[in-house]
Amino acid sequence: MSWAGPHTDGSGPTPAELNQATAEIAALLGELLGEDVVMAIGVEPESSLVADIELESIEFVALAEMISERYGEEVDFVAWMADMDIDDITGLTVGALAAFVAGGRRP
Amino acid sequence: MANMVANGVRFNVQRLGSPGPAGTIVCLHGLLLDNLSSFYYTLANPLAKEMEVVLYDQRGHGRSERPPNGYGIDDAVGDLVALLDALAPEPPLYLCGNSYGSLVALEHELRFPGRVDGLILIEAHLVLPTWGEQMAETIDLGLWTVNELAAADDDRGRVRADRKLQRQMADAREMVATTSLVHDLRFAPLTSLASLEEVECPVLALYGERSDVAHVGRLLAESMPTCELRVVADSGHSLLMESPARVLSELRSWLAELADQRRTCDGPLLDRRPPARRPHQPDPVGGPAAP
Repeated sequence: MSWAGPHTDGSGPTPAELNQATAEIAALLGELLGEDVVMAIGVEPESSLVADIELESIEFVALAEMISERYGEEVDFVAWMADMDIDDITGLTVGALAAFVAGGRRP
Repeated sequence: MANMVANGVRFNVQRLGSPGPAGTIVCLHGLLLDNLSSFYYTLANPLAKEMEVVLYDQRGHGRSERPPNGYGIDDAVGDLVALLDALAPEPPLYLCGNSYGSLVALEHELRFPGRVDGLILIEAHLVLPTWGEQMAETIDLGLWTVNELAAADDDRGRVRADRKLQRQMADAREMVATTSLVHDLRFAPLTSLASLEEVECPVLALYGERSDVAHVGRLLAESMPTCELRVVADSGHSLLMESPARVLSELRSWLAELADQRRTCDGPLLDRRPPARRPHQPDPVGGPAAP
């Protein structure tokens, strides 16, 4: 799945922005699942939200809502999700989510 | 927006998209192992580009509160009414149910005719004679059987996959053990087939061709003059998860037809004033513009 943010120069988020977004998503996962659970699993960019982190579908929806609340209109989660089917959503990695978040809120 | 208290219960509610002339669709999920995510993963986000979509976990399900009592159809309709009152959704208002959720949507229409502008019933159940008994027994039996199968497979190689299933089954078992759900289903009042004939709002009934409740779809179409039955090939009762793209396209085409009819009805024959907002609004569902 390709990252699609609002940039016009064709560049994606920088590694620093990606790292920051990954850390923020890990923090939201900690809030959702408990810090101890997230520490035990380990959240890496290549971690699959469903297969590795074992998010249940209802928890994924809660995470999506947390991201939407955290970043507001900077990230259009609905438009991003609308183009995905069930397999796309269940195949999402932390890195893909971070790229979306980092890209969506760049100036 | 996640938490709302209505009818004395805390509900997990999600509103997606924006209020607008295309109106609002409120989604009602199925029983026990289901929650709002089945709509979130399938119809909600695509529809939210065109209209406001409201999802909520029914009491006892997902991330909503699980009170010990109140799992009858009357209670589910009461919850829906209280949430609609609190949300004040932009009309036109549609209810979209899946499986048991369709029964809740239909019973809402039978009790409060005229409050919604259309029903989308995906794999609806009706409370026909013996339905309550069968549901109660299926849940009691089914849960324990599936759980034993999962436990038998719980070797080291499958432990991760099974852990999620175990968690879901444990949650479902807890719901059965700590709530009046099975009792309330067993004694569910029969759906009044005579009152189905009086339903005036448009109804779209979607069924999978292999569905074990396909006969209910035929019964709905025979009983309700306003009901249009569409059968989807190569799908069973899990139609929404098996064929989400097909369900979405059927729903969109049906909504487009309704929007066209509304435009025609709102036209010069009834009202000679120019329509207020419509000429500048994009067609919400992509159908052809009315002449």
